[in-house]
Amino acid sequence: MRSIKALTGTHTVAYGVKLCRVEVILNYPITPQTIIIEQLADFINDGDLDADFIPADSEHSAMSIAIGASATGVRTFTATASHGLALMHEMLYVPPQVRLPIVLANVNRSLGAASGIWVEYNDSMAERDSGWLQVYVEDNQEVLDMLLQSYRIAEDPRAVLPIMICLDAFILSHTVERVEIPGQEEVDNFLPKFKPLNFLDPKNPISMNIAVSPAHSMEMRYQLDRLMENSRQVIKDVDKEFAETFGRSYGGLIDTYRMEDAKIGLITLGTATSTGRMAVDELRAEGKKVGLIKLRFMRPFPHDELREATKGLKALGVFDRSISANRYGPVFTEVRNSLYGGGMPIIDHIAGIGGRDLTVAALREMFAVIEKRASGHRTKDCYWHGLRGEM
Amino acid sequence: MIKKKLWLPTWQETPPGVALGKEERVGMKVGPGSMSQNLTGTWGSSNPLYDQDKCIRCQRCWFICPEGCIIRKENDLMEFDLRYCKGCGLCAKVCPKGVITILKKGVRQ
Repeated sequence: MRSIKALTGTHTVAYGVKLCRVEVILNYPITPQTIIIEQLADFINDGDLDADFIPADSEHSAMSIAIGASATGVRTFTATASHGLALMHEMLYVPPQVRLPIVLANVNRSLGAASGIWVEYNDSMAERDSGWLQVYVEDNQEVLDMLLQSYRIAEDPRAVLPIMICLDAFILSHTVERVEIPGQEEVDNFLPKFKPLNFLDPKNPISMNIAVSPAHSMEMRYQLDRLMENSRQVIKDVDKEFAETFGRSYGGLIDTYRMEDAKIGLITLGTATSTGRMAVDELRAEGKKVGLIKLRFMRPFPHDELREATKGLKALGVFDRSISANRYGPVFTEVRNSLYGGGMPIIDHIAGIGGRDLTVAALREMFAVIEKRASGHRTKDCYWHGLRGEM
Repeated sequence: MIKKKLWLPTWQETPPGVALGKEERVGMKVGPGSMSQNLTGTWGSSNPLYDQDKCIRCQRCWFICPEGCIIRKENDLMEFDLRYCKGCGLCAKVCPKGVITILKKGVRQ
């Protein structure tokens, strides 16, 4: 039976994990992720979830144990944030290549010496090359819905790849929102019991995560590249089936807002999309033809979908909540790479770094720059919004 | 000269997550499942001898054996599987009652 609850993003993740009947949970605490595993520990203690709960001695160990658990053919979950994800880095490269469909909830938080505990995407953007699928979510309902979808996507025989669900620190993780929780029976029908592609079995011996000679590793890497490509269709199909079952669709790799006749567009990801929708509505009311593209998946990157969605635009802006020191943010470089050759001006808008407040006014400022460029004026290629001092 | 026949699958033929073919090199099996055929117990020069009657079932030897050669039976006594035992002697060292003795192979008891 469906129910409505008021939940924070972290508790929503825990409810999602419970509904997915995860069998092994690896944990090592880090703000703002800790409440996820606290809630999961409560579920297990209260007998609401039948799972092994393994406290690790670091995030590196947490991912290592997750790999071992998943390799025995059980549904595995772990969660982390910022420095925790960075410590996992080495082990993150194992599950995609060995084809272990682990789900990881990453609460995006800033990293390094300019870091706090607030939202920034530098932690997960650094793991784009690891072979994990990456989805950035906008609200707590999407957090839950993506958790339910994530095991379906990850375990689909066409790909079988691990997936990282990225949610904004505090803006989602510690904010209470209305979340519709589906019934267990509905979820069981949507997400059947895990059938592993590959697991350790003495009767059918295989080698996992071994040192590979130069004679074999290229083929393995190309295989991974193709699997990532296959996952594009998997994501679309799962979204469609999810919409038929639960009545909510997120559009697959990207979602668009008022893009039908738009002349200027902005690409956002994460919670910035909600603020972006408000800015678009205001500008539309003023008669400006603006639209918004919500980038959901960073991996697989929606190359074709972006080309299709940006047709007819005079200029495009890209919002970045992380920087790749020296000029641009990672989303911008990926988008520009993907749209190369189209001739459309693309401008990077860096904002909300380290959790700095991202207002509707800031989003309007971005649109104003894109509009200026669209009408033939010169602009810079990259702007920092909300920065003190002359840029 | 040792002739090797290399296993070179295309990317489509490469099994998921596994890039190690089943081969034989210099008489040793290589690849998945090879350790069930390479009985490395033959490498050692000694073996443990276990006196079941004096055993206090403390499980220390079972816990320490690096090769998993000591099998814990239902009644908590031990069974030694010597197929992979190299005679390292750790079991004899940790035994508080001295019920395990390491003997040179081929030496008559």
